[in-house]
Amino acid sequence: MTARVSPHESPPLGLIAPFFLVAPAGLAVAGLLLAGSNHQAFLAINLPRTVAVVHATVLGWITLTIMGALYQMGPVVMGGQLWSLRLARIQFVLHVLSVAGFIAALDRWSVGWMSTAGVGIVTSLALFAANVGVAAWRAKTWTIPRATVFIALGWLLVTASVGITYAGTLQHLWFPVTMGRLSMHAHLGLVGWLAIMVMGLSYQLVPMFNVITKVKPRFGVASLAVTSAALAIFALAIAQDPPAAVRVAAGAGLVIGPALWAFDLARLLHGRSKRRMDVQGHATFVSIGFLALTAVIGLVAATGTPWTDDAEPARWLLAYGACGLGGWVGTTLIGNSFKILPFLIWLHRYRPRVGIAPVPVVADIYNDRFANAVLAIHSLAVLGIAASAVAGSIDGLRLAGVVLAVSSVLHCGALSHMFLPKKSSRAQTASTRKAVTAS
Amino acid sequence: MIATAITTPAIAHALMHVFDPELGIDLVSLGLVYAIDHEPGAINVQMATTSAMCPMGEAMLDDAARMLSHRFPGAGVNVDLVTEPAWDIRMATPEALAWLGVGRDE
Repeated sequence: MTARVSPHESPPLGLIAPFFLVAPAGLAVAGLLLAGSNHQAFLAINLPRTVAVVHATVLGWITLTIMGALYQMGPVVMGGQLWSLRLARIQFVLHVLSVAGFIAALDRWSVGWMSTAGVGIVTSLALFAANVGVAAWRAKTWTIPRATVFIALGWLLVTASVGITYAGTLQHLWFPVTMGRLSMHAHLGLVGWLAIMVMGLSYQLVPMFNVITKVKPRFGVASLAVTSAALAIFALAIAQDPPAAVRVAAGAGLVIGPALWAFDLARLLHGRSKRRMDVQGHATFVSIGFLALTAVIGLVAATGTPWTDDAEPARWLLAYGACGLGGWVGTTLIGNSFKILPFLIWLHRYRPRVGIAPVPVVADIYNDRFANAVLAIHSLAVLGIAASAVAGSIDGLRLAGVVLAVSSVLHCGALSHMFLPKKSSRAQTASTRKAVTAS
Repeated sequence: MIATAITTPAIAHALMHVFDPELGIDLVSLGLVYAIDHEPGAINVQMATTSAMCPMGEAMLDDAARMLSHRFPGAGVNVDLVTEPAWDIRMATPEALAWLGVGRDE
């Protein structure tokens, strides 16, 4: 079942574009914070600088990009109208200001400001969830992406609730935020919000962008259900600060759903009609590679001290977070940003002229080579962070942070370049004209 | 504007200027146009979409109709979506297949 698309039903370009264009700033901040980190980064995962880097990446870059994507996909792909465009604009401003304040407060460990900015973030997330939730509710047919939106939004609100509670307890000392409880919050966000969103939406985006018509998903519902169930078990277990055996077992459970998804995605891509790959296709393969790396490093980290220097227990955890957030989720985001934004620009700027004048196609709106270069530089930066963390090289970590910041600037530049006027490169070839005329 | 005579090649030629925005290939070369009928003052086209997952599918029908209305002013244009037989990549022209990279690594 397809959703009918028209520029009138698509949200305004001016609403969606700021989400995509501002989001890389979050990654740039994360990269610069990493570049300014010191050897303490390897000592514990809950140091102010590390927590600031993670939240700049997750809330500043990834979540802001997903918000822009969902504000477009709600009406365009799922066929349901947003609750309010004005609310979306207000939410964007609130989110950017709150996250900027939150990152600054985290880096300085100002618990009062962390709580204040945290309330702003939770409000922003609630407004976003309500707006997109209404769009998903108004959609006419049940699809995997539509179910994904509900599941992921649910986990997002749980993650945000836990997070703001932690901010409150840091200020008012209700209970200690142990490593287990911190891990619970981190995984609710990484798996519940981000992984489920990436997995579920890929069932819409990958077949759409790669023209996959013959192969059907086999584990779409199963991968989401297993991941959600495993996450609930993991969260309850890890919050108790269990021994290594329980951590590894719970972690292994978390891997099952994404593994089913990766297998499904590999099947789909193998059966694609469009063999020539663009940046979105490359990013999908790279992201699956990062997923495998994330699973392996995560399980190693879960085993604890036998694999790590006792004096620097956070090294494998840092590598795990880098591969999961920057690698798996991040490369998926980069790949799809070079599809979603050009599509929106095409829909609003060029489609009204179809049939009247030659118009560019989506591929004319962005430079695929440059997009692939951004993907490659970003991937190298993430690998650099992971490798430096495992090796315990602070100089490597700083350098990788700089490269990450550079990649985010290049990404923003590539996205901004799409808004410049483009010409059609698809001249009708004599051979195709001849073939049709003959038929 | 000089009105173009309504012929099957002229209609096909007009539809070769409507592109799948994602693939960058025109509707005719992709093999999406299944049938073209015309009679004095009326044009009927039956076409498919590449995938039921493609949100642009039905929008391309509108684009095709707009192109034909612009090229053949005064003619009644009707573009219908056909789902059977389902579109298959093998319906595309060799040039389109080459553009998509089909056959390179198969």
